[in-house]
Amino acid sequence: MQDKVFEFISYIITALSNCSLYSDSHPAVIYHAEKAVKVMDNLFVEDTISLAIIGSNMIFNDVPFAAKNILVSNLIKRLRRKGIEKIIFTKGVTAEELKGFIAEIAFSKRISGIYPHITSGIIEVNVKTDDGDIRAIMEINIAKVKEAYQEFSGDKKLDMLGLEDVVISLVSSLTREAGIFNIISPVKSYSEYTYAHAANVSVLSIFQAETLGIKGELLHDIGLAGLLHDFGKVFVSKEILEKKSKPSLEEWIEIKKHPVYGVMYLSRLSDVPNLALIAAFEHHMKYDSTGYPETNRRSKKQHIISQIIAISDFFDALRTERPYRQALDVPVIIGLLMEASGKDFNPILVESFLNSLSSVRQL
Amino acid sequence: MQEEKQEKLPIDAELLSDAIVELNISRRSIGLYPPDHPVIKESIARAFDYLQRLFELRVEITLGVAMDSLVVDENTINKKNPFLKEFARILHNRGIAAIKFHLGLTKDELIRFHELLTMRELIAGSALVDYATSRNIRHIILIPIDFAGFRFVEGAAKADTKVDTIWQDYVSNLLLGRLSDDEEDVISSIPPEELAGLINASMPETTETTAYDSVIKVYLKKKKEPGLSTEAFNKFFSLMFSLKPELRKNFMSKAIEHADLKSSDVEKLLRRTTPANLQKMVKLFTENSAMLQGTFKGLLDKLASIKTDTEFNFDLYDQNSAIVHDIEIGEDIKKLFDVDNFKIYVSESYQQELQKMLESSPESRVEIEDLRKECRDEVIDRAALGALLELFETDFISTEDTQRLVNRVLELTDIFIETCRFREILQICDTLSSPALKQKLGDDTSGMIEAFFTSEKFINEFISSLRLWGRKDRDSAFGLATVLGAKVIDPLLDALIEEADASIRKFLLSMLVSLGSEIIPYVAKRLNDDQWYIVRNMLYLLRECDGKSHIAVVRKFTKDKNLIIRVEALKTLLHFRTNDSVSYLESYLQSENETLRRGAVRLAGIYRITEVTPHLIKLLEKKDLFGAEAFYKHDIVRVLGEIGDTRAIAPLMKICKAKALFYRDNLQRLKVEIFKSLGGYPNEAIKPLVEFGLKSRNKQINAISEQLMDKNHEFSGRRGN
Repeated sequence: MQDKVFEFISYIITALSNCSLYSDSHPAVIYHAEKAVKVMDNLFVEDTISLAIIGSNMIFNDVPFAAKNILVSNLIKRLRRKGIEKIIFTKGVTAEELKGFIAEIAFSKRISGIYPHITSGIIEVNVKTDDGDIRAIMEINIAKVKEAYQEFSGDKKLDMLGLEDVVISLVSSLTREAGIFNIISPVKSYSEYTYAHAANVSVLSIFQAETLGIKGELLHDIGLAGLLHDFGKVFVSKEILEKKSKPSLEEWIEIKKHPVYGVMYLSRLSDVPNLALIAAFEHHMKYDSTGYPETNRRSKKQHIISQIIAISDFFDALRTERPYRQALDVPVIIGLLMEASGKDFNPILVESFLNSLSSVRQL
Repeated sequence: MQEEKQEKLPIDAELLSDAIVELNISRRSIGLYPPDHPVIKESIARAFDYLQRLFELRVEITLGVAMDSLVVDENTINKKNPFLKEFARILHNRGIAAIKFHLGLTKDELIRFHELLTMRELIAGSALVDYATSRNIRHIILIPIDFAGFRFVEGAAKADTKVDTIWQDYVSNLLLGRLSDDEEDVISSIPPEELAGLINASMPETTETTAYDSVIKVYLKKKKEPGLSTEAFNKFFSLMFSLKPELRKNFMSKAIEHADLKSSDVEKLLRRTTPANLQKMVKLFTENSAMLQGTFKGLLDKLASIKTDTEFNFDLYDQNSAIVHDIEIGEDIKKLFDVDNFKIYVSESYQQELQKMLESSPESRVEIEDLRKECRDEVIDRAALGALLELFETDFISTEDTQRLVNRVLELTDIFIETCRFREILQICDTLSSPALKQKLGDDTSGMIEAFFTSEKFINEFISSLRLWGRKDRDSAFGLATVLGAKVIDPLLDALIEEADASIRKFLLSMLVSLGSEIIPYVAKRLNDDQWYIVRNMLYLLRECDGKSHIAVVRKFTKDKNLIIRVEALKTLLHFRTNDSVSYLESYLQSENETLRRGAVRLAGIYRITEVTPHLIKLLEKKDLFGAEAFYKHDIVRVLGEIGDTRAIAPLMKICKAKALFYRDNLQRLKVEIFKSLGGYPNEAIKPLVEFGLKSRNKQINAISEQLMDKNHEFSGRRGN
């Protein structure tokens, strides 16, 4: 039975991927939707079957899967982002109906609920919501980032669902809070810098992306890319990163490896969005294709999301003091961004970022 | 379940917790050691021992599983212990809500329970409970999660995340003086800004003095540390900076009462304080200077004398760049940090300029559609793949990591093939097959890569994708087929035979042609097929891929019962210019069978066989008593034009001058066709016909003749004469 369920899920997620890639009328979407319906027909023991998500688990007909593969993780991720926790299929689902539902997951903001044999919704759990202090929320998010980074070890995977929650919270904080400066965390001790910086870069990148009109799934992926852009530093010695004095050239060479370490590890995880891999690798590349890591990509263009994250990274890093250096004030950093625009940074993105900043605060 | 406030677990919960830790140690060790290894046996034995001691206290105990926490009675057992947390998650992922341990548990049962936890077969929920029963585990009862108990809210969607208030509880208790010494350590682990925020929110100005003392004690008067550390000093000031002004004043005054600092300590602390903190301290002390005396007065004087220049310190310099954190600052920007520039740069007037620039700058020019294009899944996937493939070229990743990367890339290939991403797969193939990488990976991994790309599964998926969407990215699909080489030929030929859609068949044929002469042996094998259309396609492929070596087989098909095959065979002979090809052509032209004759006429034109001009003229001159062969004659005229043999000019002129009693329209149309075909002949040869055409009353013939005259300067030169 489990094999059949996997098969069913794999057809759905493949149809979903093809739908996102091409369109809902693509032959591959129709083909996989048809296959899914065919497999689904064999799964009905009663009149309905259900797929539910509780925590990080997929539950089929009220029985959890013990094993997970990339497809199950992907489906969990896609549904969570859509706010769907349970789907109930009633006998009689047609390929056309399933295709429509899949297209809504892929493209629409909301599920319309027009499908006679497919219903979706949430599972009620006692979640305490609190509209309180935005800074407190940010601190909790930073703590979660820290927990995820620190709990990761050779045989323990990064808690991507935990980080997804952080992004959901950051996006929602930005929606509620007009001032980005009220959200980004003040810089703390340098040992905490990595986590606060990750959260700040995530917020700043979400902020930039939102002002450019990006929404939905892509916005979440950008948030995750921000959270994970410096993940490679987990593999750089703490002694080097938290050193009270200036790093030596040898130490700098080691620090410069973090984009490679980052993408190397993140690529092993099936549920890390590709944008996070790209940003982890490219966030120190520059708009003019200089920067590091120095690879054959010299001739290639930095991806636009890496350009967004590079701006956020620069902005937040220069706000941080070191024992041997004071932090720069925001207006000074903004001036530097403008000066470096066109060479280090995409000038259009810098302009958009600064316009958005100036609209929320007099610099 | 106030886990945070629980000081000590009851003894029975402690014993169960110890047993679980041991069980999880043995569970983890199972992947590292054989099942009878002493590490595993000893852990299970210790777990058993703890459980036996537990059963002396009570006959039954239930361990609840709440996501990643374990609960006994009302107590959450040590939530921070990673072993317990991991054990909880394992059980939760297997759909287990609780486990009951009963008196009477035997060591064998515990071992079987342990086997159940470590078995590779992943079963969960009720199935796992059934399995435990089948393994005769009677004194450990597994209780599955009742997922049916959750309430489904149709049509709803999730929105937000929850807020944790654990620190809030600590701070409230700290202010009320209810925290134990141990818990004060927790307070000092809260970032000072966070602590300040919580104090700001929950401490009125009128709070009793003891509340201030409690907070100050946490940082400034720690029992375990003699004297005042720089860290504590800095943290205390960070706390002060973040407090509300009224509270800050109160705290400062209390801190000064508490502080017992020597002048030498002050010196030492200041030397280690960051420049930014020093500046803030000056501000803080200046604001509260009225309450200062003694050492703190001296401290203020020292702070005031500190030079707070604006020079910026880079972390280091690397070639032409300067480094800040992990960011490279290029030469141009680096110059801005030079003392003089920097002073100008941070000056108020410059900042005002900036402000003006920002206020006057137009709205963002980013085209959202362009941005979306860059963020399409396809583009993102390609960029991510590019990053991964770049990693193969770095020289500091281990062989083990490189092999993992290979596995990841192959996983991606599986996904790409399902979504018809030939370009990406081709990129993967090219990278993985590079000689340098092969050498780095060694024979085993290289062999594994080759086996992956030549596996039946991969090839079949490739063919399915090709049929589905191959035409969309034709060049990459062709490139990939070329890389896969011989392995893909037979499956492609099968697909060609099965394919019902003509356009896909055409695509598959062109792909096979792109593979070149490598396909010939595979094609030759299929020439014996019973289906005429398969043989026709194979003959086409033989022609296109230089299959001359199989010409003897082709020759046999000139006698095939199927006329289409016969024409196709003749075409192949003509294509290879075999010695006998023209004689076959002549015999077909003289055939009584119209299909063969028409096919031969067409081929004579395609291959420009001048030898058959007389035969064609003969066919053209043949009387058409019933006008039925008019269109056939059109073909002959067209083909003669393609051949361009001047021997045809005189017969054509004869037709042009002819007059008909019957089928006049047919003759007129044939004449027009003659003039249309004249472009294929040498200029000099057609001159009489063109001059004849210029005098024609047929407007179409006249116009064609005019055009021919204009194109040919020689004619034009004479025209005026």
